[in-house]
Amino acid sequence: MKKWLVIVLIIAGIRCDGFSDQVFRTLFIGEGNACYRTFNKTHEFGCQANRENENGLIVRIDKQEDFKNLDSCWNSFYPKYSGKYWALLPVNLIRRDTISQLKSSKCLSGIVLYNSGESIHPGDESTAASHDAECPNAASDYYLQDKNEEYCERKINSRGAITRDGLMKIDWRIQMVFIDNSTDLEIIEKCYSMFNKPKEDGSSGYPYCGMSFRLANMAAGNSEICYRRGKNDAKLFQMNIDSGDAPQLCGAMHSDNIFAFPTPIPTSPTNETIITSKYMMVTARMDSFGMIPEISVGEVSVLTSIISVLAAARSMGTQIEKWQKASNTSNRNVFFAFFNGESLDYIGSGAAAYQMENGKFPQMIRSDRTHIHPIRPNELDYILEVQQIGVAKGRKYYVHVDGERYQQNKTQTDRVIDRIERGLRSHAFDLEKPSGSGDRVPPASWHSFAKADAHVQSVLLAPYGKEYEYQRVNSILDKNEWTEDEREKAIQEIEAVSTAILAAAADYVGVETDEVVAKVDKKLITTIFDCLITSNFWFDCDFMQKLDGGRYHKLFNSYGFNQKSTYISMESHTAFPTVLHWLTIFALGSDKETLNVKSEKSCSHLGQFQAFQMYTYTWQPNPYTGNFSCLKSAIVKKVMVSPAVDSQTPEEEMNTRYSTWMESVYIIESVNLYLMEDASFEYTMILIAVISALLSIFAVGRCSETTFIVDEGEPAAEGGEPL
Amino acid sequence: MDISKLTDVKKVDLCKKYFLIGACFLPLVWIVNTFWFFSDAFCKPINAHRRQIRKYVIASIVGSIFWIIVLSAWEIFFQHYRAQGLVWTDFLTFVFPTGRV
Repeated sequence: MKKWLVIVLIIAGIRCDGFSDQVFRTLFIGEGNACYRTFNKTHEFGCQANRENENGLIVRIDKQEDFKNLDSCWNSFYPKYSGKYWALLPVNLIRRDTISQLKSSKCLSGIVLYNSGESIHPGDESTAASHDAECPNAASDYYLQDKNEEYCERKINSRGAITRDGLMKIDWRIQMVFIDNSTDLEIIEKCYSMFNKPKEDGSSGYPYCGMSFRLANMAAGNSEICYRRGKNDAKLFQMNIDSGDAPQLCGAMHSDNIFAFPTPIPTSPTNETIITSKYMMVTARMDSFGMIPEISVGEVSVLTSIISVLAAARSMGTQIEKWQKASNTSNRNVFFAFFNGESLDYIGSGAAAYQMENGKFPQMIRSDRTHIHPIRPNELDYILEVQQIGVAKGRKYYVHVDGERYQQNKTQTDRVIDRIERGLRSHAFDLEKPSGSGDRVPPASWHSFAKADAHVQSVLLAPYGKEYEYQRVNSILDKNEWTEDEREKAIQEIEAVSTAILAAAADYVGVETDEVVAKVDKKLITTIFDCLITSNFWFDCDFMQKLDGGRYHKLFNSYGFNQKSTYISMESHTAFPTVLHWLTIFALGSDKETLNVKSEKSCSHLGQFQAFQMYTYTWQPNPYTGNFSCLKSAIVKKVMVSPAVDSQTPEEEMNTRYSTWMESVYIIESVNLYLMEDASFEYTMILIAVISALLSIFAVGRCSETTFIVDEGEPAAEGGEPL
Repeated sequence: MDISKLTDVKKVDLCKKYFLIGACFLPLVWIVNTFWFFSDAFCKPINAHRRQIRKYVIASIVGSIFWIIVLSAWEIFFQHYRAQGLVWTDFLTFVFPTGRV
């Protein structure tokens, strides 16, 4: 018995961790760099590790022809190997003609994606690489839910979409990891070159370079299942010793949305007077996604449009008194909304519409405080949205309206469109106007508000007509190499659109249009373009570094905090909302009334201890000088959760009027590279191990207890002491 | 307990008690009763006491089989629907599996 106990203790005492660094070359993979599971109400998508797809031999797919090897499972190169493969694959080879091979391959464990370094230009038509669907947000379309159209009737993204439903709506059997670090990529490539690269005669032999990777999701099924399982009353026997609450399996995709009110209307002190104003909401979306959701800069999908709105906001901010005066007279106001999660069935705008209907937008009201007056859906006259700015074919833009609503209020809408046309023309761009009552609005935030109110009008300004011209909307490849001409053209477009926004907004509010149209700051547009688009990271340029003023900290080791990403995600794990918030404060904030405030502490006290909660006070540097000041602004940075998956709105649970996108909680492990030996080698090693173990048992077995007991009395006895 | 040292009267009494306890929705007790008294019931010469033991053992066997069928049917039924992630199956689940429905 004791012998067995000794054996068990010896075996249990062995820790193999100490050898792992000699067996594996480990590459750290941060959050967001790998494919994980996402859900909507009915399906699960993305990747999940299992026994079948963790390990594999590393191979390369460098060009189109290499996909032939995927069909034959590289048998001609590795005839003695019967396991699976991890394929090194540049992102630009994910195309319409290759995606089905990747999906159906039975010999792939996964793919290691990397940027090829091949430059793609904004006007490049050879790469149809939109990771979005042919009909983006088809399930949340106003016309579908209003039963005016069939599902995906207008295939607006058919030129660019790689698959009909988009790459984010694929339940992959394989795993995916994105390697952005060139050192890590070199290590993998070197491992491949040393061991796996076939010789000149096409042969190869053991040992091979293998790779293992594991990303384990907690949730499965669909949003409905994982949302329910996260509730405390989901189970009859809820026993969680740690916290007492149900463990989180998945979470609703949510992040900050930014709403800026240049001319805010305060709530009345007693809340008895309901003020009815009219609003034009100028909006641009702030999110994008890719096949691996987080890997998405969204240059054209997001950033150029945001710059044009920011430039318009800045122009407005510099002459706010005129706008304030006009708004007071006309009772019409303009506000800016940057919605997050719009590419995933309108998370931000859906939540905003819900809050408007319930009198909670933009702020929750406390009767003892003064807030920004709640905006109701019926107070929204126009939603002026801009999309995909900077990639127009020629110098032509399109305005998209809902035909039926347009006919109802044609005169006023024509006036808005006319001002947009004037703004564009001032920069030598043309506008194609709506054609008639049959017009439909492309995917836009308007759809959320159209469901809430029958009169809200859409004015969508974009460089496409019936179909998207840009073929990389929502894609890992929405990241361009801008030549000087392309950059200049994009900046001109942004300037023109910004002017058009200003012109339309000015006319709506009642400001003399000619006073503001010439005020768009092209230099600012150029600076922000270079900072947000050309630079490698948000804070790489001087302007943004000064705006940051040491305030930005990489709080998480996630892709979104260390790389440019506009993905919404499940937590505030991306830097972009912070970047945009600071830029909006810069655009619309003012220190005229706070010149005597000289410290961050006194600035924050201004906002905290006042009954007047309409304004926020931010201690922020001027991006030109770097000097801090206390900026007063009516800007609301607000986390918006889709009501369908928000525990605060149980009455709307899984209501498909709203987005039901959720993300799984997951555990991500590092990539391990190791040498794979032939099976016969492993059998030999097992045999040696067994023989060694047996010999050890016999060696220990011959010992008795006395073998290990040193008789301490013996030397003493020899010295004459009694035993 | 070594029941071989008990008298037949005490064995009948014990077998009866186990049968009655098993009747309180405790099929495992019936199974124990079956194994425990099977040899007395069926492998030894019959007498009045052993006839009674046989009666209880047969009843325990029938009850055990009934429970096995019921529990197996429930398990198959429950697992079939549990894998679909239905509300009622989730409600009755003790631990949710991670990474799968």
